[in-house]
Amino acid sequence: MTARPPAVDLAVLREMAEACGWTLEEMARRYLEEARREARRLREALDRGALDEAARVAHGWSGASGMAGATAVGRLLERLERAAARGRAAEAGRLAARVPDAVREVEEALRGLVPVTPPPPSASPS
Amino acid sequence: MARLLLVEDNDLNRDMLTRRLERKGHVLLVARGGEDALRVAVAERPDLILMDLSLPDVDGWEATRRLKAEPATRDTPVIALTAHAMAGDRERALQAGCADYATKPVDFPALLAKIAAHLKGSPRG
Repeated sequence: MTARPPAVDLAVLREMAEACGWTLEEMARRYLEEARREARRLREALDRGALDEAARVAHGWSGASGMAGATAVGRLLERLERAAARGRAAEAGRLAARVPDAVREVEEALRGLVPVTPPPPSASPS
Repeated sequence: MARLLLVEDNDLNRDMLTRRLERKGHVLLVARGGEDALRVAVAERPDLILMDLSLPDVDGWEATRRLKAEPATRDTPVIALTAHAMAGDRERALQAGCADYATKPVDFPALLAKIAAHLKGSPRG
């Protein structure tokens, strides 16, 4: 039986933060911003039936997730990328439906490092 | 150190790699897509280009072909940079004119070694 990957491998996240010269909090905040932005782009692409674009978004986000230690999200996105790239819209849609829960697990794992609730648009930094 | 053009459409991937390369002393130029890459490469004449293959508008393969057809950039080494594990992607990148290929997640020391090797071998190295 394959072990379920962790929502966040903190050692990987920490290593990348150090490599970039960011604090762990800054690294976590950047990843969560990425996740919220890319989840929205992914949903919009699939809603339009733009499978090529969905595959491309999943590809980039998957790579960033791997680098940031968000292992479970990264693996889910790899599957989504493959499905979208092969034109399997229904499978891509089913996998995309699991993305919000996977991101919530990352937010929970990072609770304490960064706020789990996105700031209102008027308070967002540019 | 060298002036590198990083072509990557994912914001976090671009920010992370930019930071890591800058911390090694390189000067980074960035582009978010293939068209943007062509414009920046011709205008800024970087020493080397790191090219993601999965890009909006013009993809990395086509952008590399166009760079190699352009007199101002044809001698600039291009290293393909992608998470693609699909069979044939490496060959397609080399056929398009890439000098080398690195897979994501990036093995950073290995990437630095490839950058150094290609800079040494380039006409401006």
